[in-house]
Amino acid sequence: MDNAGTKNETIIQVKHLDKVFGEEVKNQVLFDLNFEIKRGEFLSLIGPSGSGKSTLMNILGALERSTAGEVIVNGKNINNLNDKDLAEFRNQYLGFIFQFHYLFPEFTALENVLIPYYIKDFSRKPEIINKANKLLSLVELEGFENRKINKLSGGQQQRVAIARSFINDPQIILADEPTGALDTKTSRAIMTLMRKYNEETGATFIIVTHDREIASGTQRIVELVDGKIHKDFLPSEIGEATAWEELERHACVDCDTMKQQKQVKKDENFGKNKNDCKTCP
Amino acid sequence: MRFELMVAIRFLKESKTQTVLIMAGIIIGVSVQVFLSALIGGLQTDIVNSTVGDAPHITLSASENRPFSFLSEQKDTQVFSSVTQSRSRRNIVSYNEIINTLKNDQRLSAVSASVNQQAFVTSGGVQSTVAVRGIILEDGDRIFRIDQRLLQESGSLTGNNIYIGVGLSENNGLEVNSILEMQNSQGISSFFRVAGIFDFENQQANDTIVFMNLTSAQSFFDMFGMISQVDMQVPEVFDAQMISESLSVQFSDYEVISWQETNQQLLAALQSQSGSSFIIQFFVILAITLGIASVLAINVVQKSKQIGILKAMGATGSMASRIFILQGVILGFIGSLIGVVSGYFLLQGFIAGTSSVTGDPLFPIEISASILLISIMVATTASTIAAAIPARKAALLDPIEVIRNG
Repeated sequence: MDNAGTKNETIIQVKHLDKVFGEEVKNQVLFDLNFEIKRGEFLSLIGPSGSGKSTLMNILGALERSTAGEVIVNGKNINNLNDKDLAEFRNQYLGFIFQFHYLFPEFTALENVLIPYYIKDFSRKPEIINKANKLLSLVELEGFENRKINKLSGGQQQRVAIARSFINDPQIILADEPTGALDTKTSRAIMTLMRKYNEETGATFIIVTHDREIASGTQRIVELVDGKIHKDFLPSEIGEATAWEELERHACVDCDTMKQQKQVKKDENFGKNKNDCKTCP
Repeated sequence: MRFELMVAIRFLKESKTQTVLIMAGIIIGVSVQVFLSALIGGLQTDIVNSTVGDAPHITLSASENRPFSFLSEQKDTQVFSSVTQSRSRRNIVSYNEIINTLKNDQRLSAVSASVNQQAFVTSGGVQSTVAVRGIILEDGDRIFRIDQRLLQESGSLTGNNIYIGVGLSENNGLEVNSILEMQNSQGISSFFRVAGIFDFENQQANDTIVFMNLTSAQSFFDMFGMISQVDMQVPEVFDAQMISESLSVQFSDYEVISWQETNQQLLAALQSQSGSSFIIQFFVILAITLGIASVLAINVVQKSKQIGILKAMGATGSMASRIFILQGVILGFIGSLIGVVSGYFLLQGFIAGTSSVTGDPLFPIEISASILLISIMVATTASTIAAAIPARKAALLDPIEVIRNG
């Protein structure tokens, strides 16, 4: 895999990042954020609802523009790119995994994996088909290549989405609640899969999650509260017990708002997982 | 095949009901359009044919208000003409030269010199007027197709032989070989032999027209060396006006009139018929266009999630819009192709259903390949244009809206 650059080199640099929504009624959600992410990091971004973590994710994913500040990815200031260049940038450098997988029901599993490649090159070379097949077996979906998406289980669908995010050998993979709609066992399997890929290819992972268990399985945890970085720690450095304590408090803050939001979204799976919501002590 | 085309086809396949419904709309619209234009085209050809098919398309006659003596430069005829000026003012002298020039004109398919005069027939004490046409049968046949219309015949149009219509024959109890006395406007009588009875399928023509040999007519009407007019036909009836205008310049001393000038009312009727047919076709196409536009607009909303994700993964706005443009092209092209074929079979059914016992259709129906091709092109273009609005919507769709709102 051609993840250029060496480990521990800065891949994302955020400087004085502000994000304000609205023209007349201004609503600032991100306040002067400054941080760096190193190549090959396996990072989770946590925070209560409305903390701005999704907005930050969308800005890092070049889907949304910041109001002020700089976002430098791979030495390139993405604020300076036009829409077409941004599209190309996303296609070439980024892999996306979403909570509701967002696969195409019109296509088979294999075709879904190939879509990000097809967007830039529709040559349908045997090499790329082979690669897609390999990615599907990597996510343990051998034999499901030609199934339509709605003939797959939730976990299988998310695996297809993961395989899809890998097809263009992205340097950064952005996962927004990748296990949000899955049960604990499947969630763990998905996390293992991502971690393995991270270790093998050196791709950088940024995972937005509200799940403490997921967060605890990452290398670095960044917590956003009210649009500011509240905590930024490496569980390996502060010790597992302290890390859990930190996460416990986070889960508590998040609970009620999370529940409200989930109900609005009509997410039927919410609440089935014991980690979805935990009442405060 | 491009990726956009693959996505467009999958989108159409996935929303089968919508695709089938809009396709049915296009098929019905296009087949109605093909049916209508062929029907109206055929009807118009039929009307034009029955009006001018067996009649002169262009006539050349002497200008009415010109003193006769100016018409010819030949001294001897001038002397003659000065004697008969009042009567022969509208006649053409030295016509051989004109006839030869016109017969060599490649744009004309038939040229016939004719003497047109009124004569009187007395039968059972009642006098009636007939319109005598003195012609050279060989030339006149090419315009009036008399030989095809003769019901009875007992000799050619030579000497004192005349051909009369069925109406005249019935009204006066005349049969083939009967002798008919006719009087010219000077009151001079002559006897003629009925050598043929024709049917022009037109009451007035059948009641009044009498065909006579040109030389006999010239002698009967005291028009030696003169004719009344030159009748002409052109291969394409609607070219008559243009050719007539050019002949007017060429023969500036004469009056050249096309059938269009003498049939203004018919032309106006044909034009308004074409106009109304065009309006119907326009609204059919408009309905198709609006149908496609609305179906694709719904499609953009239905597929906004997919479009948003495609964009998040790097698809550009123009790529997203091409997916919808292509859907319009596919719908329009396939729909109009099937529509044209079903329109063709509809016409065949109509022809079979309205045919007389002999198997001849009620009137000729024109199905030209160019009309079918134009129908396909128009419908495909209209669908492409219809797709432009939803395509623009797709191009402007912000992926973040989809991702933010789930």
